[in-house]
Amino acid sequence: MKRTILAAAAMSLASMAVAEQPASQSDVEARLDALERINVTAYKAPQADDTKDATVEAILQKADQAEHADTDADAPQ
Amino acid sequence: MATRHSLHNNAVRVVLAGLVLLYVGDIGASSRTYSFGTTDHYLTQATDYPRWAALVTRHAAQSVEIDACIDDATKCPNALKGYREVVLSGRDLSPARKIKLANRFINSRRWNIEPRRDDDWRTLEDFLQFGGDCEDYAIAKYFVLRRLGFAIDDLRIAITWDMRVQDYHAVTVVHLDDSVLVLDVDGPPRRQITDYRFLFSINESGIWDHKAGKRQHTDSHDVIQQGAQQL
Repeated sequence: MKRTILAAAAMSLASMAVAEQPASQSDVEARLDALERINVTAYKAPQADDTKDATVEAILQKADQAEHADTDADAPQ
Repeated sequence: MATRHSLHNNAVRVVLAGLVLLYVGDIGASSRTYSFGTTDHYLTQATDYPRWAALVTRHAAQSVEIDACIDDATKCPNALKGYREVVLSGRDLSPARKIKLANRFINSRRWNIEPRRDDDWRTLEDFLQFGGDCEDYAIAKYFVLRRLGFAIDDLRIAITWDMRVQDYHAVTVVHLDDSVLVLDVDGPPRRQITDYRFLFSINESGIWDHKAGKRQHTDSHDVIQQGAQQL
């Protein structure tokens, strides 16, 4: 029983040691190359967020007004 | 014999105690990092990824203009006027509200699809001026939240494989109160998105490879393609 526990413990320690091994330099470069080659182009149409928060909405309204202040001033009366 | 038996018992206790310590230590480490439900392996420092490093450098250069705009509204180009209001009015909000604000503000911007061969990553200022596609939304939210006071360690841009769309996608992930929120282009912050397989994540300090634990060999592109095809 104790031998079994010790063996299991040793295997656990060994697996942890393997898991913690840092990636080799060539492996890091290969992974970076893979990342570099990914073109992130999935199209997902932006949608409205229905979870309204009055405080957040008030700020967004101020932001919208600030962005369109010049446009509004130029608009025909 | 009794002595040998006692030594054996002590050895078992020491090993078990060591395992407990390792387990507790691992919990501590996990609480400082995100968990996406996949193996969370640090790959390398952020500056080793040229596309991201160049973007961060450009953002830093543009921050001079952004800072001037925040300080003085008359120095704001049109593209930054709304952003100024978000920063000034949002910086005293609770973290949860800051996340909602950043998500809503950026999701209201113009979607501008780039050709696949020309998928440049835009800075926050470029995005606010010209719009962008999914990774640009994720990057913009990252930098808005940084400006609103979130620490680097609490933010990442995650590159994912979208199982529904069958294409690569990017989202912002935020660490808040021991949970991870995913900020996507199509709705409110979510605690879980089951459609995504997380591949890499990035912030200003590092790059994490979420498929590292499943890696069988070093041909990374094959591994990613294989992972996508297994879905």
